[in-house]
Amino acid sequence: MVSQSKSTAHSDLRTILDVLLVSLGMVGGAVAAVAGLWLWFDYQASPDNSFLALFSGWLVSLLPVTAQSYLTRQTQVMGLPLTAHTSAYWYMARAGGITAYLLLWASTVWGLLLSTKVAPKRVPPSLAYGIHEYLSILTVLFAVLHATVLLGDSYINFNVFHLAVPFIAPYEPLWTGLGTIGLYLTVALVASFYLRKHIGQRAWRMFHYLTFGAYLLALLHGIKAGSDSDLLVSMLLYWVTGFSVLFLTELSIYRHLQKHFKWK
Amino acid sequence: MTTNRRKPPKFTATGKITLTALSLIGFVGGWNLIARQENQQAQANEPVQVPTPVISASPLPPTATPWPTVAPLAELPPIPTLAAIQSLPAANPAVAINPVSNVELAPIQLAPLPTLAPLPAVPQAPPPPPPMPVMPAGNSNRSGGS
Repeated sequence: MVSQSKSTAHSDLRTILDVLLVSLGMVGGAVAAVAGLWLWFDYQASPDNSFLALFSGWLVSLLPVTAQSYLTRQTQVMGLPLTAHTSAYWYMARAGGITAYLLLWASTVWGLLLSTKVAPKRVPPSLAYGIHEYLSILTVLFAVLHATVLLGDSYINFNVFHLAVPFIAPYEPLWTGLGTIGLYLTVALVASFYLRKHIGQRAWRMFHYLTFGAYLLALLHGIKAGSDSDLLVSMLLYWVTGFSVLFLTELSIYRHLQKHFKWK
Repeated sequence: MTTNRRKPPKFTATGKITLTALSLIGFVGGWNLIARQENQQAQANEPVQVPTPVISASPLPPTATPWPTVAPLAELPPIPTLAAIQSLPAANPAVAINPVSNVELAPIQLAPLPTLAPLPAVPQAPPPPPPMPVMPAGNSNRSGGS
């Protein structure tokens, strides 16, 4: 009786702590979002006198003079500061898209290496699984960054609806729409990591096969809507990454059939 | 006897920070490369500007002939221009002929053409002289001769 009451009190305390932590997290997230919005509007109102400009100026002044001049040249090349007609938003969108694609490729390939047992056996499963999960989280973050910075570009004039609703964007609506669907699918796949206990292992595994669909949509979006797709480097990148995923997928199917039909 | 079981290593915060930093470096590096490539392309597409030759004035030799100066021309009156009227194309044959133009030109006011004075009246021609009578043959009043 005493031990039962102790365990009940313990579980109640854990529940209260969980609720408190979640609430703190939500409040912290809301504060961070409001602070980010305030910094953004402050910068847009007066780029030279904003808090961000003064803070970054103070940071740069701590560097040596040669580093300061190098940094100034690089920021000019990259289209900074972020004024209304700068091309920096377009450059950031392209760089963010390529980064998100490479992270998605890395996560997909790492997952296939784990499932086909090609991954080094010295890597413990918990570590391997943690890397796979974190790569997919970074994919979502950079994909959201890739979409969000387009709001600042004044050449094509994307708005929130163009980004959130597939197939209505002013630039390559079909291929941009496929990218939007790919992002939503990736977000759902990442969320499924945390819902696995509730939906069951089998259902989670079936849902996880949609990763191939998300990867294919991202690849098509990159090839058809990407403004760097004509470059040799980009073509090589898409060929190498696409074929590596295709090869590992076929290997995974083969291993599965081998196990199922007990081939030697 | 208890055995200490080693906890399986997890993907710790250090690993997450490292991976995030590498991703951010890749993002900023990609941004820089794309910006450089765009700037190089923009510079390559710019028309080649031929540098204007700088002509330095050389001093005239002391024996050079001083060129006569030309008196400045009198101020010319301004050239009359046609006033453009922004209006809807009316029933104006000029506009109808040239539908591309949406500017109706003002009607040209020409001076009246000089008219020719009537020709003076031609005097009546004198009546023709009467015809000469025909003289018979051998009967002739010839003077002179015997």
